[in-house]
Amino acid sequence: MLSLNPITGTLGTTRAAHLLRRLTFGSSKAEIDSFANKTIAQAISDLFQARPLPPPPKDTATQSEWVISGYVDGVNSSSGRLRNYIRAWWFAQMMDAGANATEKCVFFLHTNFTVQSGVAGNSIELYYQNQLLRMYCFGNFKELTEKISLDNAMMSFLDGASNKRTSPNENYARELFELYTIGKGSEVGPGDYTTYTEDDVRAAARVLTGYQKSETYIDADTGFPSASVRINSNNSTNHHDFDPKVFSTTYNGHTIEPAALDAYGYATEAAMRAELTDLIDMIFAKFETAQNICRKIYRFFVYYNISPDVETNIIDVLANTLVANNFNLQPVYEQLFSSEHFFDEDTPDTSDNILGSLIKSPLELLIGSLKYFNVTLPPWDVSTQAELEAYFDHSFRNSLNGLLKAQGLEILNPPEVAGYPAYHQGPSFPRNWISSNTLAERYALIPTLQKGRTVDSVLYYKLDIVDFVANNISAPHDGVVLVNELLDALFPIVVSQERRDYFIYDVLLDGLQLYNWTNAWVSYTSTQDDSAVRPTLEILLNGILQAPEYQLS
Amino acid sequence: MTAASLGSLMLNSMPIRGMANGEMMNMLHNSQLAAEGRILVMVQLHGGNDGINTFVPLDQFSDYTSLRSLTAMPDPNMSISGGSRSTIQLDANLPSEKQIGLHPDLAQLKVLWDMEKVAIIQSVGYDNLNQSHFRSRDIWFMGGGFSDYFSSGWMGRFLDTTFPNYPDNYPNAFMLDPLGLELGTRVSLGFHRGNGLPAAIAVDNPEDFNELVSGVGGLPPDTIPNDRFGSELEYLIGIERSSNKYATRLEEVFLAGSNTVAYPATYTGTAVIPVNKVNNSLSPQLQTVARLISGGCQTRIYLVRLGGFDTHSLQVDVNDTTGGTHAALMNHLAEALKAFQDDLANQGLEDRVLTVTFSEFGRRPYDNGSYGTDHGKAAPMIVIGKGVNPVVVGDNPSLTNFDSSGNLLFETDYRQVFTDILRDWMGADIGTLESTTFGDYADQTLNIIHQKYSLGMGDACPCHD
Repeated sequence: MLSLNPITGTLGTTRAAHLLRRLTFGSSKAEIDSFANKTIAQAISDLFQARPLPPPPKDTATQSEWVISGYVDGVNSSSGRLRNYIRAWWFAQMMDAGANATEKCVFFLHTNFTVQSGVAGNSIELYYQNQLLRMYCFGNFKELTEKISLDNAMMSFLDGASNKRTSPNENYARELFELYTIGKGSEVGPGDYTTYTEDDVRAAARVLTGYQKSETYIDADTGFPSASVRINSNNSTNHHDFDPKVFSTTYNGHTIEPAALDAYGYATEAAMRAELTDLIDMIFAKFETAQNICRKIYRFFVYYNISPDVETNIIDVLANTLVANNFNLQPVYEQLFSSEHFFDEDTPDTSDNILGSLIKSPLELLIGSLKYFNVTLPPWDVSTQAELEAYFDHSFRNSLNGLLKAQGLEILNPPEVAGYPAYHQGPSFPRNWISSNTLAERYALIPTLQKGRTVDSVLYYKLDIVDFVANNISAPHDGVVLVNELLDALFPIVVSQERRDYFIYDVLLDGLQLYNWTNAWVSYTSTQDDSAVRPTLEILLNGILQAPEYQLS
Repeated sequence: MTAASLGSLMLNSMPIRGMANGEMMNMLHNSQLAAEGRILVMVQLHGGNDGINTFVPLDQFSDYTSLRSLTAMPDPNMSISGGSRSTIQLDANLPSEKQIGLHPDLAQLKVLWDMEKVAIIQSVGYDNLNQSHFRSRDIWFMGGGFSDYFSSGWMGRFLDTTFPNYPDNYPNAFMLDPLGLELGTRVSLGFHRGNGLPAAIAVDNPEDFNELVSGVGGLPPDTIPNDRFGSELEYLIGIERSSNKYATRLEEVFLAGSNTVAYPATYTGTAVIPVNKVNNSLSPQLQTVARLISGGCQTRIYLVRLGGFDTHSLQVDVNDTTGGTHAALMNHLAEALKAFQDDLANQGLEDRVLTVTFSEFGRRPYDNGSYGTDHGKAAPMIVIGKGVNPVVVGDNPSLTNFDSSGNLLFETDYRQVFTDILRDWMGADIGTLESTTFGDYADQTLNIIHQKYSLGMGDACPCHD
């Protein structure tokens, strides 16, 4: 019987690892061990501490920020490079978040409120949109929807600034219904998708007419720049459609029109903005909106197929929690991630277990590997040109970014308007991360990390397995302990003995005996000459991390 | 015949493995296909191609210009001065209701038309055409209607039926190569086979691909648990296995193949186009496909993609409607298709390859004031190759008589187009068409494929002599 009742007791290692895998991009052994000793209430409380908004990144060319003070052509790095620096800056947040759900939740919001840096959005706009998502990471989804409708990057991306009374542009209005809120139902007639109709799209487009991007209009709630209203020399909102917008019977024929007009017959600015609030209220008043949001949460964090049983006993319950909390996300997250359902303890049937059921995204694969093996990157919030280049250029822009792209994920640049296929393209959802190319690249990641990144004889990062084993494995001289501890930490499920034996006898020992390994390790500890142990351990790590089990969360 | 009695039976002097009777029949059918070597190249125009600026309806030119106050091509009948561009009349011999003015950057398509290698099908769509990119694209790939939700694609089902027991029995003597190949890094829904492995693999560059694949991976687990984790494991293992099987072979085939023409890498037209639309991304893809085919690749269906068609704003240049984003895309499309066709012709491969363009929908008849157009419905398809009937199927879309949403009416179901191609070009029999879910379209024809090449209905060709 599916249940959202909270689990009891301390987490233990398996549950702690599962919780951290799903709510972060990766954790260290120390973090997993710490959470193993917590109760679920303590763990959830720790995970859902909102991180303070990080300061903006600095341009390597100027050694200072540009998102607040503005871009200077010829002085700052190129706009393309600055977009990569925003990617790098967000990646650094994911690395720095620790055992905290903020960045994973920001990424979830990004998969919903998509933007494609390859199509629209300069680095400053992308920065502010990302901070907006961070501001609302556990917060009010409805309010976020209203804010992001007027976000500058979103205006660029979906032609909001071209949407005018005399020539409405439906691009954003369509995605507002289809992608960002209520979603499409089944098509029951021409242009009728159950949850909205084509006429609703047209009407919503008219509500959104007459805005433009602005660097100077500051939203009073967020403190971030957002769209201003277009006005003429009489200060009238002459590009906003002031006529009534009548919605379909799906919305009970709801009508939106400005509450106040100015002397020329145009909507006042306040009335115009209030129409957007009215539109958002209208969409969120339908229970299907809450259901759709909860389905997306479920697919992103839990599992990508939603059975009718889950729909009724999990999704609908979460949707009710969301509505009861006026669309604040945190109560829904707390309910879901504390639950017996999330930890596979609500039914005895193991065939529908959630543990290990999701293919990791390239970010989880990369950051998970870096975090577990204590790989440090150069710090990002630094001051000199050399220090900035060490992270932004040598580590991220010229290295890690390429590794992610090769696996099919460019941060802030999904391949289509609906976002990364892993989160919207059914029936395969996260299987969309895997093709013959991307799987091979995911495997190739491991030797690349072990080789590390060196530029002009300076090492910027490296996964050093010898160092890790020496400091983190309880009895590294013992081949069985060594392999078991690694497998138990790195594979999401309990590993069979035959599989352990494969890694011990075929991969680590390669036909030799356990005492050969012991001797080699003991010799290393006394001589500090790792030439006998390093190649063996690197091969072992390649074997374990190139196994299909490691691809799963 | 039982499996045992097949012994060392030879077919086409290649040994075949012992197998059950039904499979034997499929193998014979497959060997015919293999001998015929028919190939289909799908060119996806991603974003919704604007049909009436691609093929301007010359018979309704004044309606056209009033619908498109910001984006219409200039009147070809006005005297052209100073070398300014205008539409290219497709063919003076067509009746007036089929009089098409090609977008000025489709010059190479005109050349192909004059070589009788082009068929145009107007007003293609389906009932209740969905105006969401993702949903409509999925429908085109699924081979279904507006309310269908298949987990497989029509290409995947066709390949699955034609080549049974994929992936277990593959590669084999009759089919050394992947059933389908998608250029790029992901496999589209079109090739999905339901819950199993997709029928295609995704390849960017065959040489790099082999180098990459052969260096990584390991032994998969022997026992797979019977749960979701196990199901994902199986999927991963399947992809790894098929990559391993094909990587070396694809590189061999690629290295054995060649290209005989230069594929234009950038825009070759004369209008002003956006700086980020200069590069022709279709050329390298078709170049790879041609090279693979010339090297002996037996893959049946290729999918390549040209993106950027979602021209809600700045579809045209604000000072010159013949320039802009759409112009660049038209040029990239026509130039790459022409180079591809020439390459195939030079290497004696033209008899085996058919190319089709498709897009998830067209665009609205009237433009939107942002120098662009919003999502529409019906749109044309282009079929290229020696095997076509060089005709225009269907009249110009009506620019006065729209559907209830103010969009161009659709006349031809896209599934009929694909049925014609599978049946007459690829040789699909009725059973295969039914398994592909195109059974309802099997006994009608649009006569897209020339009688000389048709493996199916082969009606008298209503084309030029």
